[in-house]
Amino acid sequence: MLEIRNLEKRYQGVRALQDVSLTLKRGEIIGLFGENGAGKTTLMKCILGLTSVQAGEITLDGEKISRKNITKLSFATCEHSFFPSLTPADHEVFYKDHFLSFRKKRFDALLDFFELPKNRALKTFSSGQKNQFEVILALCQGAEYILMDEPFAGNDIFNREDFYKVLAGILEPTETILLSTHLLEEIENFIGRAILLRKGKITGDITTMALMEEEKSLVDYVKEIYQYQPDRVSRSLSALAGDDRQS
Amino acid sequence: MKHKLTLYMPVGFRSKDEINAILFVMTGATIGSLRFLLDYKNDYYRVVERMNLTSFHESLMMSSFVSLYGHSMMGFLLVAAAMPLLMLLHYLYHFQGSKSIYLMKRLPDRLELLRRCCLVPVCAMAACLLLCLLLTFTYYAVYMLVTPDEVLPPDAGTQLLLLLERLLPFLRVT
Repeated sequence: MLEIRNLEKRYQGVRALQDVSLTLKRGEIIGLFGENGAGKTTLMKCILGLTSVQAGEITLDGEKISRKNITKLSFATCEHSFFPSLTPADHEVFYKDHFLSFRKKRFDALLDFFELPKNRALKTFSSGQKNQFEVILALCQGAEYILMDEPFAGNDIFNREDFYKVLAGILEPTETILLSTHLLEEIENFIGRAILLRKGKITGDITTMALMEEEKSLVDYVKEIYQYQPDRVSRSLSALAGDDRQS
Repeated sequence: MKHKLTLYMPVGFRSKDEINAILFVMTGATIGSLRFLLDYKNDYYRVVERMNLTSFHESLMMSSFVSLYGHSMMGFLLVAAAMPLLMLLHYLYHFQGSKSIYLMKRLPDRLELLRRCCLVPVCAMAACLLLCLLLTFTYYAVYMLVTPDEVLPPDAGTQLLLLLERLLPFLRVT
């Protein structure tokens, strides 16, 4: 279980995360949503220890995250964390050296599925292929908690759909996924829980089962939490048109 | 050899090119240090010619080892001074084309990033220091053994210590 308690993060005095508390249980697939700058990426970086925190505590199965248990976490980011001049085969060697529970079978199967060349440098891959490979690495590291930060930015719809299906098919019951994305409708059926961040605070946390019971879609729920005003655009356009007429 | 070397360089970095470049500049620094021998040769012939032309005169002396040594090891100093920049370059490499720094920072071996960024530059610095000392001792030996005793400055025996004290003040012995 990944537990986050009262997390605070500030960047040069600006609060990026405020009193964030969360519990991610094993086997959950969680969507992390929020507008740009809501703190999704910061939250993931705090969990991974890539950035310092001002207050709060993060524990993994009851222990603070350290070099001893860091291999239980993996990370796929739209910024990519692989080595561009290496091939997938080189990455396999590197990962095997550092992550003892690297899943070679899964790695080969996913490379085959996405038809990614094993012996070509990643810098020659298309941006979609690079995203695919980034996610493959995160899935094959052998981690129990897989954090994904907008991993499909730049991939086409067919590609993304394939990925959701593959993910749903290959994940073991103990593997947990925290997936940050803006693609609400697409992943609604794939996730079991949705967490909403707004201005660094958790403003919503609901299971998709509860949403179904309330007969709400994920988009409706997000709009409700964000107090989205559907007539906002038409009002602005009317105001602009009024200005034009007056001038 | 190549495989072992890549373990101490940033992953995917052109390790062979970098090692070749370091060896090249160290060779350049060694060649630059030969300036001592050139200056020594000129001074030696100046003194020996005058010894042959005139009868021995007390004022006829070889220049001191320290003055002949001059800036002959400057090349090594420059190479060593460039090594912290190389460490920085190794670190910044992890931000080029991707953020592989994220992966490096979450490896179970916490020394992996440090090792890959710093080990080769630190070794190059140490090699510079060793080579510089080795050449200094060799040049001093040449100076003491080849120079005729009559024209050796009276303090020639302590010149090496003086020089070492200047180069490495923390080793002050007098």
